[in-house]
Parts: sequence; C-alpha cells; structure tokens
Amino acid sequence: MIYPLTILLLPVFTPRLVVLLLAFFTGLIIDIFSNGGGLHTATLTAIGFSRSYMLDTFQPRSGWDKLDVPNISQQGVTWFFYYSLIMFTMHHFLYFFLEVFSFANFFSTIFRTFLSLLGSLSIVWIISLFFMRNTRE
Amino acid sequence: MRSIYYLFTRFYVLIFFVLLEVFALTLVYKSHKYQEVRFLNTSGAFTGTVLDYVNEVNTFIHLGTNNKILMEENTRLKKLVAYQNVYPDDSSLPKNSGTYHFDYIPAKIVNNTINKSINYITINKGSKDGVQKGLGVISSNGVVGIVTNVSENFSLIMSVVSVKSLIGVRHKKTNALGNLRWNGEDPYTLQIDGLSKTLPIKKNDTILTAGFSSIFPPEIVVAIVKQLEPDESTSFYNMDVRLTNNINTLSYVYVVKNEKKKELDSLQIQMINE
Repeated sequence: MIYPLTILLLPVFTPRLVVLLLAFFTGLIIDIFSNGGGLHTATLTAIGFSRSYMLDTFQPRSGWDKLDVPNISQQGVTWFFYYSLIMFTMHHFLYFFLEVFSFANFFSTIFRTFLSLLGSLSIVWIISLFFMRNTRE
Repeated sequence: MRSIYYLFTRFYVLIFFVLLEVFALTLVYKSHKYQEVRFLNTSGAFTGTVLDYVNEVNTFIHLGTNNKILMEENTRLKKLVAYQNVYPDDSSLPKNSGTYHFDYIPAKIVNNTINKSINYITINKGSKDGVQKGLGVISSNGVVGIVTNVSENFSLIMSVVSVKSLIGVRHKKTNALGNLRWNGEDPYTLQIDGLSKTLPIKKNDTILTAGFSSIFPPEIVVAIVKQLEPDESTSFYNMDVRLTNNINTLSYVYVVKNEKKKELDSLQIQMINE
C-alpha cells in the first residue's frame, strides 16, 4: 500500500482544500476498483487532512520555501525517513483498524499493521531513492 | 452572520474534512454492516470496462489455474449429462441419488505422440486417482483412447490413432454400427468398417460412440465422414473419417469410469462361458 505517497509528495504550499479533495478522490478511485467499500477513502482523507499539520511541525528552521516539495531529494534522507514513517504508520493503523472495524483481536491487527508497514515502507524508500537527485548542491 | 462567515473562512478545510470523512466512514460502516451493500464496487459500467482489460491480463497470468477450475467444472457437468443420457426420462428418478453411471476423472496430458503406428498418450492421473486398465478416455470434443497401463501417478493411453485400436461407433442418422480403426497412414484420417453399402451415408455425416459398450458413454461425437466409396469386393463402405478432436494438440482429457463396468463385464463373460 504505497498510494499515500501521491498525497505526501504534493508541493508544500498546495492549498489545503486541494490536498484534501485530491486525497478523497484518490481514495474513492482506489475503493471503486478494489471493492474497498470506503476504506481507502476514509484513511486517505484523514492523511490528506493531517499532512499540513505534519508539515508545519516538521518545517525546516528557516521555514518552508514557496516551491518546496517534501521529497527525498529536497529535504534529505533523514527528514524523508521520519516524514514517511510517521505518515505511513498513521495510515496503516487507520486502515487496518477500519478494516476489521473492531478492537477485537487487537494484537493480531497490530501485527498485521506492522508487517504491512514494513513492506510498504521498504518499497516507498526504494522508489524514493530511485528518484533522488542532489538538488541541494 | 459575520461570525459564521468568519468561522467558515477560518475552518473551511476542517469542515470539508469532517464532511468527507463522515461520508467515507458511513460507507465503511455500511460495508461492514450489510455484506451485500457495497456502494463503491466494481459492478459499474465504467469500472467494469476498465476491469475487463485488467482481467484480460490477469486471466492470461492465471491461465493454468483457470483451466484447472474449468476442467473440474466440465467434469461435473459431464457427469450430469451422462446421467441424463443413461436415464433419458429422469423425472421419475431421484435426482440426487449420487450414483451416476459414468464418472469422469480429469487429467492432463504429459506426453503425446502421433507419429508411430501405436501411439501412446501419458496422463498425470494413475491408480491413486482411480484410473484402471481398460477405461476409456475422452476429451471435451471427442474420443481419445483406452487406458492400457496404470502406475501410481500416471497412466498410459493407447490413442485411437493406433493400428491396434478398435472402437465401436455408430452412424448418427441410421444408427448403424461400425468399427473405428486406423490404417497407419495419415494420423488425421481414420477408417470405419462394418457399415453396409446399402445405408444412405453421405459426406460430413456425424459418427458417434456406439453407446452400448461399457467403455465410452453414449452420444459422444467421434468423427465426421470425410470420404466414402462402396468397396467392390465386400458389402461395406470404404470410409475415411476425420476425428472431431485433434489428438495432437490436446492438453486435457477425461478418463471415463463406468461404475457398473465390472458387473457388466462379469455378466457378459458368464454368458459366453455358458
């Protein structure tokens, strides 16, 4: 599940409403094609909403630049590592708990979440490294 | 009024978020509560078309598995058909008696030859799966041969394209009986003898299995008449036929198991002995 990356990589100063709507419709499309029943829509909308708060918290010391993009080439490996880790953890937790729709079998759900998280994040980082360019220098 | 407007401009993202999230969560809730109601599903016209394309690719990838499933399905249906052929008026019979006359074992061809005088086909089902010596083998559109050797996991079939093979057949229109043989020349052309010159047989007529043998089920199309001429020296036709199935390109076959074969055979042997 690496589709939240599409929302995470939007430019920093994309209007918040646009991010939210993009997240919503992305989720909707995924749901329609995978018989998700609203699952992806709900989680991705939440991610789209919380992204801006996340970026506010994690902004560089000098603040965000107008054209900044929260990707690995511009913000560096460490920064992107934490950013993607937190966002994906949030997404996967939401997703798996909404999927089972109960807190019964709590630990088995947690276990599945972490396994899936491991797989998703590895793919995300590999993909990110492929697109890494040293624009800072 | 101003304060409401102010609230909206200040928190419009939050308001939108709550609206969209409530909508999405309602869908999630409904999809959990009512199994059959999925509002976002793949049955729509647009998604259907797109998924058709996706499915085409997927089908290709899972061709092997799908083939297997279809074959099992075919087996089941063939059982039904055989059942109805054996008992034409089945309204008086219990439908779910579970004792069909013919049973089918699906099998995959492992090895196949067509260039010898006696051609053998190896299939991946053996005594473990209930295959026995002497059973008939058919494909979805014709007769394949007779089981001659059985090991634990494999069986050898003498195909109809063998000079030793002899199978009882029936001309569909006249119900006249004959024997299907092969003269060892063209593997795509077989011969039928035993059909009388007086019968009104034409080119492109259908040849079926005889039906009274305990090996093959009745009403299975075997061949199409390709060429025929009355034999000068005998009272029979010289008849060339073309098999309806291409033995060379077959990949899946069914072993026909007649549950009453043993009983029938022993009865007939008894009769001969007396």
